[in-house]
Amino acid sequence: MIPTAFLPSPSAALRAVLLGASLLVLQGCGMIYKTTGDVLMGFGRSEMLPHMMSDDDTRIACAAGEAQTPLLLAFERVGSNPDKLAVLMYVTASSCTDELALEQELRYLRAVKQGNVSEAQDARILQKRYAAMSAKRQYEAYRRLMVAFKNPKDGECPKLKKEFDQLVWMIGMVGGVQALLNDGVADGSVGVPRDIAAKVERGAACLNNDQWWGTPRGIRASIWNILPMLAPANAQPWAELQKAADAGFRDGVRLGSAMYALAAYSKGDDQHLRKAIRDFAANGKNVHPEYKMMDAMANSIISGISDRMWTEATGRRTPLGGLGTFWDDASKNKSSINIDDLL
Amino acid sequence: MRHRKLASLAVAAVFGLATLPASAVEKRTLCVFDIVGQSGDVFNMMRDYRTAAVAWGVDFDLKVYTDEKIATEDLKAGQCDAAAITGIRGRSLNSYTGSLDSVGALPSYRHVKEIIKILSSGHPKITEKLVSGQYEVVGIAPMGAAYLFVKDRTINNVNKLAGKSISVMEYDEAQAKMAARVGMSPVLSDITNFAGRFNNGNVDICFAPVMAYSALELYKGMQPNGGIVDYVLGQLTLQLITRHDRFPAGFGTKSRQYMLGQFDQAMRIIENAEKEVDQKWWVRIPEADRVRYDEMMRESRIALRDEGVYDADMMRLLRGIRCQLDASRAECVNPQE
Repeated sequence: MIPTAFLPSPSAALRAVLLGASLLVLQGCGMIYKTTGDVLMGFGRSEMLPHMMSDDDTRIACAAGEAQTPLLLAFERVGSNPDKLAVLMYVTASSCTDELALEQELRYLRAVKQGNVSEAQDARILQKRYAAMSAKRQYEAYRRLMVAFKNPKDGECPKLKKEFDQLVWMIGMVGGVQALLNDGVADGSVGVPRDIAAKVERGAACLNNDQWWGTPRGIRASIWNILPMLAPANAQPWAELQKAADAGFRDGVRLGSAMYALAAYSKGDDQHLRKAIRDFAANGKNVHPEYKMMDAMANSIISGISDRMWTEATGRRTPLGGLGTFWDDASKNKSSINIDDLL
Repeated sequence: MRHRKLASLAVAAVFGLATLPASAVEKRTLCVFDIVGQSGDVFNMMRDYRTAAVAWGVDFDLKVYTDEKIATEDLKAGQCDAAAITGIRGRSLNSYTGSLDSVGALPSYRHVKEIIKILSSGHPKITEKLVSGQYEVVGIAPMGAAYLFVKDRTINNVNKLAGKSISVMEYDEAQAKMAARVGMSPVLSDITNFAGRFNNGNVDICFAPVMAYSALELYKGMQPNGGIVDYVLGQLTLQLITRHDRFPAGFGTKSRQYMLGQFDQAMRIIENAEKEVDQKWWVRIPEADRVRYDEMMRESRIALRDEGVYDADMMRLLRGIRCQLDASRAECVNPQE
């Protein structure tokens, strides 16, 4: 006789069957989720990315980056690999916090100008908080870039045959430098490794300069300019940056010009900076239709610098339609006719 | 009516809430040396300094310099009302605080904090030393300890330094003299090429702050068998120097107090940079050798003091701090500094 204690009761048996069924269903769900994830990654790459790249609305890109990053990355849990798309998503999401940090920097500049100490200090605190968030997002983009391309050894380039891979590599490189700069603003609280600048300087050389509107060489030259110790012998950073800017104007994606301006801003070189901003503003009619977003990113960089300059000097940002002009430009409203001759 | 105005100003001043009337704030130029320009740590720290200075009646226009020599020259020429430069470079303007970076004088960050506290204390005998000619040192912040980075970790003993080449900063005569004293061949370098020379194998050793380890990839120069000799050879400092006649009375005291309050923030940046150093690089020094090096550093400081490179009063003060924190040091029995 079998002891009944070892026999499952009808309700326990039912529970076991239900548990087994649930496990099967969940496993099935996992498979469905993974398939969905893989489809989503494929869709993201082949459809969503080109669509977003052809739009110049950076606010939509920022919102999409923040909102869709968790959805996309959740598929990592069921076996999909979102690393490459995540690079783009994190950099895009960081544009939101970059903008918030910039707003606080402008508030700080206005408050100092008005002699309002606590307002200025509060603005600095908030600027640092947002900069830390940006640095964290951008460093995560860079970290995933390295994972996606299997941590290429120093001096070696990853396989970048597809245009998509090249785009991811370039944006990830820019994200790495941005992470370092933002961590600087945030008092180094994120702990972004400082050798990223040198690594990006070499990594950008893996891209075809002509194919990417002169941007790769522009990234390298801006680093040479800011950190001359990383420049090769006889490097001519300004000449290189000019070439990068010109290539961007020609090809309709003005990232080279933005690199020029960033280098000049960082060095406090007002003459080169004003030239960069004026040239950028004068060359906006030829934007590449498939890469409007990349040009819009360059526009955000340039506008941000221009707003800082205007606010520092006048207490308000660049007037609408005023990019490329400065508060102290010679007035155009002065008549060239000698009034005395008419009297 | 007038009394009410004065009273409200006083209340605002006490609570630090004031929006200062534009006329009460004077415009001044602060020239900031930061090797990476406006994106660097020093410039970032000076942005905060600027907000504090408004409360002391000064609105600084921050001007960035990536070349420290030019920043110093512009301060001397009167184009800058104040400058933020390294202590070594500032030695020509105030040899007292310019001797803070002397070799082996501040073995730990605790020592650095103590000396900054003392210099910011407002003690009249200290404060008078902070003014030299038209210049006044109105703030000091740590910039990290400097070590010897060696290509061959078997160079762990001073006797093995002889005959080795070392890149030294051309503007710090103490570095070259110190190297020559132990038989090394100093290779005069500047901030743009010292790391490259080490990484390319053109020099055996470089003397650098730990902050440079990652940013300048000094680990490349140490591959495969190099290391960082775990002995603090010097402490780099950031010093804020004003042309004091261009600032309101009491500005220096408030500024020094503020900068003292920023010590921990500056240390966080240094600690983050130090965290990046792979532990495998540290070349630990036996205690007996450490004592011997302390003695060697002391002899070097005395020699450099006698040659007029280091300030005697600062050397005495630093010795006092070392002995306060560790009375068992040999130098405390027979003080010569």
